[in-house]
Amino acid sequence: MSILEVKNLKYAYSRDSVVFKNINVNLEEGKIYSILGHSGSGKTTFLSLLGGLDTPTEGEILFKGENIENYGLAKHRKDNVSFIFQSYNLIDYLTPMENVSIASKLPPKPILEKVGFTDKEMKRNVLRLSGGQQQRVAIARALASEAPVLLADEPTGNLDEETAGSIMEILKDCSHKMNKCVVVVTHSKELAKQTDVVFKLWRGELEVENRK
Amino acid sequence: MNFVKRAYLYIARKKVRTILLFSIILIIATLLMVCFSINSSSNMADANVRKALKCGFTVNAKTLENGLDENIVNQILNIDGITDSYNLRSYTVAEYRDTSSNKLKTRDDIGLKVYDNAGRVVGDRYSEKDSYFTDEGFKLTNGEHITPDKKQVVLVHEDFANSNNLSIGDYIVLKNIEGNSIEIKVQIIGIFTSTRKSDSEEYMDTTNLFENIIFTDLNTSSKLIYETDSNSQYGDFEVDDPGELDNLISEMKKIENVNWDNCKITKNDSSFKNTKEALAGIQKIVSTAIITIFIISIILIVLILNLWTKHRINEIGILLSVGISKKDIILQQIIEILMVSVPAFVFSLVTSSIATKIVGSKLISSITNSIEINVNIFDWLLISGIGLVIVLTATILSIYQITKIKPRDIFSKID
Repeated sequence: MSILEVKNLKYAYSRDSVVFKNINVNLEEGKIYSILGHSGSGKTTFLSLLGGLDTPTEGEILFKGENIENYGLAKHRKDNVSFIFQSYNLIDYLTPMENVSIASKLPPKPILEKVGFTDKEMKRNVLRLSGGQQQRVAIARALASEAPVLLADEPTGNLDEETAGSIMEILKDCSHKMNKCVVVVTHSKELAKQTDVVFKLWRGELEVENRK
Repeated sequence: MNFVKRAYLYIARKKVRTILLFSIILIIATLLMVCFSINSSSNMADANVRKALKCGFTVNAKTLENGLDENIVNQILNIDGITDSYNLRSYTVAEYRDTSSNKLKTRDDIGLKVYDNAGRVVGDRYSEKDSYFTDEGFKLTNGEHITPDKKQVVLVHEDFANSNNLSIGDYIVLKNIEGNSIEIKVQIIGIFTSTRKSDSEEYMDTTNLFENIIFTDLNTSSKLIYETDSNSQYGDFEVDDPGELDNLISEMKKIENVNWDNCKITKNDSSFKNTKEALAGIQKIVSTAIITIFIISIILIVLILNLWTKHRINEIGILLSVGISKKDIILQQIIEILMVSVPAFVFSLVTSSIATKIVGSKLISSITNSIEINVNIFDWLLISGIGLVIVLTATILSIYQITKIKPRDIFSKID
C-alpha cells in the first residue's frame, strides 16, 4: 500500500528554470528506493519536497492520502518522516545518546546498540566519532523518531566502501525488517543496485530504471 | 529532550562562549552600575552639599558708630533661612598689664613696633570658630574655649604665658590704647599655641605677632571698644540654602535704622561654588559615559548574539528537520541567554559595589566628604531590566531571521 503519493509534481526556481515536472510516483512501506541522477538534476530537491523541507511549485504530495501541506509541514517532519544527510547533521554539543533523544521519547540506548554502538561510544562527544559512527548516530536518530518514512540524502557519500556497505545494510533492515519506506538519494549505481526500486531523475523526469 | 535541557546542555558544554558572554554582560553591567551610582551620589551630593558646606555672609559693621548691637543681630537671626549658628567678632589693640599695673612682656624681637607691651585683642562669641583657630593653625593646648556664657575671660599664647609666668586662673588687665583708655580685668581660662609661623613676621606690626594675640569674650571686647555690653564689629551668619544667599542679604538690608551703605557685606560661598562646579563636571562626565557605554553595549551585544546565532544555523536546521517547532527553538535560546545573563546581572551587584567603592569614592570624596557612595538597588533593577530586554530582543530577532528561512535553504547555506 502506498504511504507517499506524488502527483504532478513540478519544481522550478523561475519560469525558465524548471528542475523537474510532471512527476507521479507511489512509494510503499517495507521497500527501499534509490534515486540516481547527475549533480543538479534535482534529487535532493525531490527528497526535500517529500520530507516537507520545501514546497512544490505545482502538484501535491500525499501522506496516507492527506496533502502534507494541509497536514502541516513541521508536523509532517515530526510525525511522518525522518532524515539522514550526507554531512550527518548532528548537534555538536550533544552526545550520541542526546542526539538521538532530541526528537524522540524512546530510550536511545537500544537504538544505538542496534546500529552497533558500545556504552562508552554512546556518551562521547559526537565530534570525536568517525564519519561512519556519526552517520550511524544520524540513522539511530531517524529510527528513534518512529516515522514510517526515512529519507536519506547521499548517506554514504562521505564514507569508505566498507562503512558505506554497512550503512546500506542498516537502511535495508529499516525497510525490510522494520517495515519503513526508505528513499535513498545516491550517485553510486552499486549501492542503488541493492535497493528494491531504482529511479533515475533525468532531464526533469523521474523514470524507473530497475525494479526487483 | 525538551528545550530547557537543550539550553542547559548548550550552556554547560559551550564553556568558552558562556564565559565570554557572562564576562561581557558582567563588565557592561558593572560599568553602568558604577556610572549610575556616581551619578546618583553626585545628585545627592549636590543636595547635601547645600546643607553640609557652611555658606553664608559676613557683615563688617566697623564703620557704624556702635557696630552690630544685640537688636540688629536678633533681627538678622529672625529672617527665615538664616541659621542660629553665627559668630560675632571684634578687634582692637590693648596694653597688657598684671593686676599690680606692671606691664607684661610681649614679643618684640621682630616686626614693626608701634606700641610697647601691647597686642591684638580678638573678641569672639565662639573662639573655636575664629579663623585663627580654623585656618591659621592655632590650637588650644590647655583650658577651654570662649563661649557666649563666659565674661571677662581670655585665651593667651603659651609663649606669652611662659614669659610672664602666667597660668590658667590668673588675672591680667587689658587697657585699650586705640580711642578710649578703658581697663578691664580678665581671667585666663585657656592657653593656645600656634602650629604655623606667620609668613611675614618682619613686616608685621608687633601687636599682630601670634605670641601677642589675646582672645577674649564679646562682652569684654564690647566694653573695650564701644563701652557697652554686647556690640561687635563683625557678624558671621550662615544660611540654610546657598541658593538663597542673595535674597537673604537683600532681606537683611531691609532692617531699619542701620546704615547698610556703610557696611561691607561679604559672601562666604566660595567652597560651595567650587564644590558645585566640580560636581557638575563629574555629572557631565558620568552622563556622557553612561550614554557611550549604553550605545557601545547595545551594538556589541547585538553583534555578538547575531554572529553566534548565525553560527548556529546548522543546529537550527537540524532541529527544524526533526520537527522541532520554531517556538521551541526560540525558547531554547531565550532560556540560554537568561541562564547566562541573570547570574551576570546578579553578580554585577557585587562587582559594582567593589568598583564603586574604589572609583566612586576617589572621584567624589576628592570634592566632598558629605556623602557616601553606594550601589542603589533601584539603579541595579533598572540596568538589569533594560539589559535583559536588550539581550532578549537581540536574541529573538537574530533567531527569528533564521527560522524564517525554509529548512531546505538552511541546509543549502550550510553546504
